[in-house]
Amino acid sequence: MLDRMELKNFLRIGATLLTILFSHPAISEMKAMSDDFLSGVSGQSGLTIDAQMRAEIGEFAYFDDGKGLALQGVRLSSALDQAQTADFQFEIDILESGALSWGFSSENVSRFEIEEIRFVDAPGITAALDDKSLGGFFLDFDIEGSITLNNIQSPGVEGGVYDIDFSIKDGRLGYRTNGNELFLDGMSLDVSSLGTVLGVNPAGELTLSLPNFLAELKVEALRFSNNPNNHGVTIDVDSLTALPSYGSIWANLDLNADLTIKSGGASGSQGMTINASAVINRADVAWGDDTDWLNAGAWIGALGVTGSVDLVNLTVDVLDDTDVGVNYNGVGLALAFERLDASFHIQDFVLGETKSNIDAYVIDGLTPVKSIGGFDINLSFAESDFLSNVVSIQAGGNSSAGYQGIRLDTQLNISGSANESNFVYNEDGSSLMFSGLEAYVDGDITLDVTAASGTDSYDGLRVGFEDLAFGYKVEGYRVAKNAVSVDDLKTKDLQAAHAIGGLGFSPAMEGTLNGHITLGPGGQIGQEGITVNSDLYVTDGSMARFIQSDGTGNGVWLSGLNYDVHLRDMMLDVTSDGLRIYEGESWSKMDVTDFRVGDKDSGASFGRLILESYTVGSESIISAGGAGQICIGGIGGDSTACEADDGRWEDRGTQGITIATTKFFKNSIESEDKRNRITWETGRTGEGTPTQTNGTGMQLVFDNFTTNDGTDSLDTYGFRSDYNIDISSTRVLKKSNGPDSNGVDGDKGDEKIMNADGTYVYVAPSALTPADIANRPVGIAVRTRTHFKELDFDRVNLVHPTGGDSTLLYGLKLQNFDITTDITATPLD
Amino acid sequence: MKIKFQTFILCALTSVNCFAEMASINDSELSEVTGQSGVYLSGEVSINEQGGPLTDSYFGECTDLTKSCGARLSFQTQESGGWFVIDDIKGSIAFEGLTFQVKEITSGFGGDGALFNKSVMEIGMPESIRMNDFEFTLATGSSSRPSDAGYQQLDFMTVEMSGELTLEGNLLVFPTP
Repeated sequence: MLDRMELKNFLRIGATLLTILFSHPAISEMKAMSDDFLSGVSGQSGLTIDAQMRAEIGEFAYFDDGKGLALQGVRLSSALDQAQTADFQFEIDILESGALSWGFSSENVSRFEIEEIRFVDAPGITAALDDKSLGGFFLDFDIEGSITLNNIQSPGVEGGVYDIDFSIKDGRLGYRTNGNELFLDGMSLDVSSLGTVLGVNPAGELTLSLPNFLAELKVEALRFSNNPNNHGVTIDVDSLTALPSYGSIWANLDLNADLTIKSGGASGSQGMTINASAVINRADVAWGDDTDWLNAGAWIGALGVTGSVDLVNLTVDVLDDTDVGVNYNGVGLALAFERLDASFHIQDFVLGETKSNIDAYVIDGLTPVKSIGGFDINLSFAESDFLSNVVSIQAGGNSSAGYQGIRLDTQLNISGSANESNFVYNEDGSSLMFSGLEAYVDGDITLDVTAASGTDSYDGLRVGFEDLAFGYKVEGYRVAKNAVSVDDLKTKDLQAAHAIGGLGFSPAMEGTLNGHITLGPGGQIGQEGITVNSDLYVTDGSMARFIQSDGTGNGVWLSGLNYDVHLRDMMLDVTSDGLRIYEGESWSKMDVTDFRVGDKDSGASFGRLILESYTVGSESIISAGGAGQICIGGIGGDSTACEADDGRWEDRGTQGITIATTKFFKNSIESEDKRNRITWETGRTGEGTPTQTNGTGMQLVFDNFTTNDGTDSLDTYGFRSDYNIDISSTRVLKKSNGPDSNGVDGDKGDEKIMNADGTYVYVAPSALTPADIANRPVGIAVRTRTHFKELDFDRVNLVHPTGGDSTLLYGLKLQNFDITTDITATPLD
Repeated sequence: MKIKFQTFILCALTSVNCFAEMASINDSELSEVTGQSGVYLSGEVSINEQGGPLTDSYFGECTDLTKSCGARLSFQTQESGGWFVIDDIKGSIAFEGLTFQVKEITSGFGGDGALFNKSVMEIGMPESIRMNDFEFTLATGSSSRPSDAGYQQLDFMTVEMSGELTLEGNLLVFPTP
């Protein structure tokens, strides 16, 4: 535990350092205030200090049980010219209340920079140029504000009560590795934290309490530079053009938080342990694309966020890597925690909205916005029998990206066996819970800012995965109308979990992930956006397409999954229609050793499936709003016309998700292993055992399928799929006489009607009331329209392992298809 | 995005008839089932109810009686041979009560159930299916596209279905690689 004297000494040293910095005779200047200045101030009695500072510290290191984290090349200077000083004015005053007020303001834009962050064994040792480093960070700022130390004592804390209020403008916050930079440009930050308590509690723990924390962040552009000559500039110094941007960022935060720090970590005698909790009273976060911050451009945002975070026993230590051999990556900063519970409620998630409308919505909560609905996210990180929660931050990043970068040796576990972790989607008063979420990751994640080079490296932030074992599953779905809370939703019937068309969601998946996703700047529309290049490989995995809700884990499984996905110039833009995704070129191969029914490891198998896909220029748009008003089983534009055609009229509300995709399947490129092909293999050597040999059975191959416009020379229409996803009521009829599996009695043909408490009854159709109809069961409603002009299969072959190919069909052609399916899934009782 | 199309293909593959067997489940078998944990599906599938996207010398609007507005599937079984055609596919099928779940088969089926002793897909037939002007034409053609120059097609028969169908029982899909 941190001794009070140690803490006081620490604070005293810090204060001394600050004093030395700010009063250095070579770079600071004490100024008398002029008579003219004072004449405008009544009751002025303070002290004004003009400080011009240019400071450089070779190394600032923190040592924990003999291993150090060193900040090297720490500098404070002017941002415009690092040979010049950072200029500030400080005003120190005693207020009438007895409080000490310290005002501060910048006279120019300053830069605080850390050139390298390394792990060291001893202080002051000059590092070799290629010694691994986390990279460098810099902060440009023009700050103005004040800190007032109030003349009061916070109960139970020996320390001070501070009112903190400051604004930063013209800011930049950047991360630099190997000559490439990613930075927030044109950043402004307004912070107010009244009644902040900083001190030591009776247990000797450093205590920080933020009872009234308010902040607003605005970032004009998140920019990228691959020119080593650039450093914290908006305009490229060589080409004199603006550096490319990912878009704008806006965030608004109102929270209160408490944090304590005590000495001693998880290992050795030193280190620290942190406990923290926070309540988010309100937060809004949004990303804008080609925006003027008013009516031009479009934003994606999570609005009206509330929630809480509770962190238990986060230990901080500088520790050696426990991995050995090629996986050993040296010393790192190990962050381990016993438990982390986080709950967030997102009132509205908007797609393609203007900033003006978002601002109006934030003020009044009533302005209509393009919302897909809201979410509740509840996550409980806790140790399991096999995994703990620890992230070790190591230096170096991906080995081929250069000596700078970040490696996160990660082990995280989300516990959900008691449904403490789940994900809820809310729209138009109905809710869908992905119940009992459990997940884990165990392996290395690397972060590097990289420049394009050859075919392996791309411009942008490279997120790499190295032997990252991962997995997640849900126990099932819970669906309800007008659920009053997440806890209320937990009491509703558990139903089987199944893949949801359009979303690409599977109820369970696991495997080992390798590869990277590189997020570059610029989209296909306008100047801003995100460009994704990626090569991902999932090996030794499994994926569920359907899981029963009886807890057995039985379902429909893709077992022995090996899946690789490659994306080139996939560009994300936010438009007024929503999130637009353009794929320059993409190809993938999903090789499923066993398509099983029942248990994922031992269930009966249909054999092996291989699905290969190759598309060029495909597009998707994800927008707010679902199917709206529709006629099922008939044709009609309103309820009268629909019912006259023996259809059923359904109003699925204004919210929901619509995903419209257009895919252009292209001819194979043999040399690059890109093709569209479906292969089904059965009768392999060892079939029915865990050691069957792929490639030894009989294969049915649908080879080289492509799209066109009905002529071989044109392909502008592609293969289109439009998905409308809603949580909506539907009619459910009893299929037999007598009690169902839950003991609820009824006759064949009766309708299932829900009670307010989640139970249900069966009502004869002739006895249905309008109230009954309003209480029909809620399900996952997916309306899918698939349409294409022509889909050509080059050949359908039968392939014998020794006899070779035999052509079954010399051509298979599908023309002029427009298929609409409208399926609502509810629990089977 | 990849997974969606692949799922579609998987669904198509798993409904292949050669792996399916229609079987009614007797009361004793049902008594061994405690609770249900599958899904109940209701909805509609419609094909080219209001035409398709292709417009050329053969395909067009449904209001144009000189054109076909239905979907078309054709395949060639001999190299340089003619084409089998399922033409002008259109109409809709609405259903309520299609169910899906995974079921253990450990007995029955003349002793084969005990030998199988694994899970199968159970597709519960909806009691009622309503077909609305569902139709298609079986034909043969001289080339792959009806818009090809000199194309000739011989129609064998046209099937039209409308009205209510009653389907009871369950479809059990046995994985037998």
